[in-house]
Amino acid sequence: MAGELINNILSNFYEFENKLNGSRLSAVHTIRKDALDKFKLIGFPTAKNEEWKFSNPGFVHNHNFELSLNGNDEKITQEIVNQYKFENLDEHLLVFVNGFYSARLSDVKPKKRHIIIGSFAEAIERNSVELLAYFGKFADYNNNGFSALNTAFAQDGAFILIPDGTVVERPIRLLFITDAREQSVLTMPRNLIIAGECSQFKIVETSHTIGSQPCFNNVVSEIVMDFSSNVEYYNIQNNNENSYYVGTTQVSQQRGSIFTGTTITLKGNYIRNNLNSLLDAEACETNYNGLYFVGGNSFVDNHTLIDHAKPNCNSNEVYKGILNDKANVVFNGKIIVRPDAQKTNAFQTNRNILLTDDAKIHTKPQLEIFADDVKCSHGATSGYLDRDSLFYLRSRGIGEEMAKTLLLNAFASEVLEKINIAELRDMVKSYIANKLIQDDVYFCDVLDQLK
Amino acid sequence: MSLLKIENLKVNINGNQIIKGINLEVNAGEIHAIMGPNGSGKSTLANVLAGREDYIVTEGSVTYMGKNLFDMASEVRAREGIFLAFQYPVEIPGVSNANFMRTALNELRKFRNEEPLDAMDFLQLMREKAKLVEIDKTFLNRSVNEGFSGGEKKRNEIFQMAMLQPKLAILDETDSGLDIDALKIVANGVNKLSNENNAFVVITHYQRLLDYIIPDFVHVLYKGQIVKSGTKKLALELEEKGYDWIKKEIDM
Repeated sequence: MAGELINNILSNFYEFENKLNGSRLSAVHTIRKDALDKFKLIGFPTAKNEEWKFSNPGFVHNHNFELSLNGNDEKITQEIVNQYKFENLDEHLLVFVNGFYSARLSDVKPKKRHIIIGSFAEAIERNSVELLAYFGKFADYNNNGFSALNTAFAQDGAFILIPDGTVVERPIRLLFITDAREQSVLTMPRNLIIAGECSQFKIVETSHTIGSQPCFNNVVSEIVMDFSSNVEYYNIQNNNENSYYVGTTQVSQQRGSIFTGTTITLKGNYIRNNLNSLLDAEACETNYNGLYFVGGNSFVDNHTLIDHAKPNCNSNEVYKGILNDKANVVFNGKIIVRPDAQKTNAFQTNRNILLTDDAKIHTKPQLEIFADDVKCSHGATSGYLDRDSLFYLRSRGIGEEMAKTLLLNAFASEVLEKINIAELRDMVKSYIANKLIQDDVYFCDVLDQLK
Repeated sequence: MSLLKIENLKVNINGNQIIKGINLEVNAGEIHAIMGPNGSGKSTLANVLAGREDYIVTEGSVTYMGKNLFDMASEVRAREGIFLAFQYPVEIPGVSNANFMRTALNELRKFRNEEPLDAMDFLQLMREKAKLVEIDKTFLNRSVNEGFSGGEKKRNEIFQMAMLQPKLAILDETDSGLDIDALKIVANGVNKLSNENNAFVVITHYQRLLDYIIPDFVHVLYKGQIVKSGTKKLALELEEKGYDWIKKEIDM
């Protein structure tokens, strides 16, 4: 089976190359070919690989995923896109269908000159200097088969360049639609996000599958942050039960930059998030916020890596999870503090509430500290809802279900309150409230109503 | 009118019998004080009445307003008018006092087939009751008991009691850990809420609280049984002679 998939991929690649015609000798394609060679060598990871021990991606061999090599958005109507928009949110909207940019469905609002909010394919076409400079330089494909494969097929995705000193107020939305109505689909979007000096913006990524065939999104994003830039990156994962997702986001931070990555996982069959930051200059700040609230047979794996390479940087990581039914979850938070990185502050917490006996959590804080003048801490907990708190609420007349709902909302709120886009926060909150209990009238905080 | 009738109640925790046959009747309009040395079963009694799981009733009955108390889940007991002021109030980070009380009050109103309170009326009620126990307005925004001092937690219990207007309030060592000013505030709250339609069971280790809340009856609990009952005078006698006096009398 494994050989069959790899053979398909290789023949896909030759088909892809033939289509390239004149640009086969381009610098971008040289990287692709290199990545393909790496992929041939390492293949897909298996459970024997320590980093994939609890998240064996065997699904890749169990379905006949078809990789589409061309963009085709004809079958996606505006109505389909509209249902994924957030209410009242004024955003720059980039829509991708099976990994390919759709100009027809996208809606980029008027913006200042030199700001680029567009597609990766366009950037290749016009030989973007920035794309050539950064593509494939940060997301390591030597040790990760999924990243290697994505790099080999890097054709389209988002290309965002916010120049020096520019603040973009509207959130930039990356909306990925996978059309799995007729056949199972493999998509490999590639995103490159470049933050100029002192630039400031927010990105929101969401993936949606239509149709009931299995689909697999293998996404790689590179985020390059220059001096004092500030980027908030939100990944809201609420896809259907037949969706498989492996996402790698690699952030490279320069002096004084602040990166905040928020990953909210609500639904999906198999989700693996690799979120990595390299703090390669002084005075950087990295914040990771995560919430996973999953049930059914969902599998979710958050693998994070914060690499402190230079002194005087701060990182703060909070991942919280609520596990229902037979959900199976992995949290692996690695923090490296290199010998040079004195005066590092690095804090990590992972807290889990299990609602059933069948839910499973593997949590692994992994701190590798080589500097001696640092402040680092980590904490991981997992358990059931606190019985004393439940009794306290019930003793005031609050029913058991409602009491649980209040406590779980409170648990999740630490992460949700950090979402800086009000419309997005409200959407996630109301989704969670609805997921907990149909009657959400109680969740509008009384003090909010009077504002 | 009889609110609460406890007959020959026996309770086990983890296989140990803590309450060994208690009889007690509480009528509307009465204030009962239950005193006793440490480990006599005072808090167990309070928690059993409020419906905490882990406590196993092995014998006896408790009738509340004519109904079998043990047929009701703890939230139903609360909606029927039983309130326990906790000895150790629980901190609940992330749930604001306002949201907590609004949810509780609306569940209560739903139970009585009443419309939920609108935000304005609710806030006004909250401010009014907060004043009663002299708690600051900012506390409405704060998470339930989180970071509260011992005194603030106890005052919050009385505040909740004022919000929910129970028929039968059980105060489990609400006075412990309070300074004299906080004690007066708590006692004042209770006195203002007390009327001919409701009843209080005040559990305390010391006589001190009873200088401010005047009980109609005082019971001494020792080794899981009520060994002596009397009036306020009994509390004073205990204060003077200590529990050893009772212990000697019983253990002889």
